[in-house]
Amino acid sequence: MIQIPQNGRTEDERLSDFLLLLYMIGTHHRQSRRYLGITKADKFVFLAEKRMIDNCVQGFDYDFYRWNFGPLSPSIYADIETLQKTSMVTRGANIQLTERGRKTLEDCGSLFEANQVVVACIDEVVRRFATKTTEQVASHVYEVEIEYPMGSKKIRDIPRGWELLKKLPVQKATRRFDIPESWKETLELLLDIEYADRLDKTLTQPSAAGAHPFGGAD
Amino acid sequence: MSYEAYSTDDFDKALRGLPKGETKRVSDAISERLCKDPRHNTKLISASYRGLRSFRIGSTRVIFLIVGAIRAMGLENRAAHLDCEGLPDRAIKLLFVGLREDVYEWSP
Repeated sequence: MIQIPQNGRTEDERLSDFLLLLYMIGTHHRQSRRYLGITKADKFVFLAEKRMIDNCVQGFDYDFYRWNFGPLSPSIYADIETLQKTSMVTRGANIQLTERGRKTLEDCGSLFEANQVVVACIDEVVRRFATKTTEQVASHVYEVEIEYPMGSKKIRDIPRGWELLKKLPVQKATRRFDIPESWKETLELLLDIEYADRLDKTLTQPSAAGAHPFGGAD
Repeated sequence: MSYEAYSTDDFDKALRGLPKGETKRVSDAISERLCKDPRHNTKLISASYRGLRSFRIGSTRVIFLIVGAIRAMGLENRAAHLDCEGLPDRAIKLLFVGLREDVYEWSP
């Protein structure tokens, strides 16, 4: 049986993947009310990441393999599940932003503005395919040519289990999705749903205004 | 010269609610490390938490603000938690404490 390996991503890479995935989902729904299932999301990320790699831009950091319906990255499934666990996107087959996801994207607006080169690759793919069905997107992806021993080959002609796309090595990237330290801590906090909920509740209490000398553990 | 620490009632309650042993460990870290230099080994946070800082002690995270910094940023009184009335510039206001989860464990 063919086993698809999980790619080893750094914490920074995983954080930017979460955020760009959320951005992609949000952009899709701004442009189209069409169904966005995991298969379609997977293909969108593949097309966007390929565009990024072609432009030496490090944004998404997924590895893709040829599987039953074209390119597949198991890490996307894991990340979507994380976004569901953290209530950023809805559970269920049609992936949509929740109120929390919308708020997070809004909060991170300046981060996307500062990384226009990266998000432009996602915008371009979404603009082109948001109104298409999953089947139409998959058909397009099957025709994409990628490097293969002895020349390039269309994805539909590549055997199952073959590595189609590997994340761009840091040394090859001329631009990358840059998340400043303060944002990393903020995103980690936002993804920690229980902590973030309790913090938000505490900060909005009128009692958050007053303070007295700290008495320690007494 | 170290900073004076002030806390809210909610912070005190959350601190007391930490697991046994953790309350003292966090409390000691605040008095011995955070008050000495609240910018050292702490991180500014962004978005709707603008002006606040995060201080990690193992698996616990403390959210606080530096009074002088909040005034310099013009954020005082923008929200209840940013109210620093009567507090000296060289003070920290402790707002929240809780156990944090390792979000990276969820996705390989």
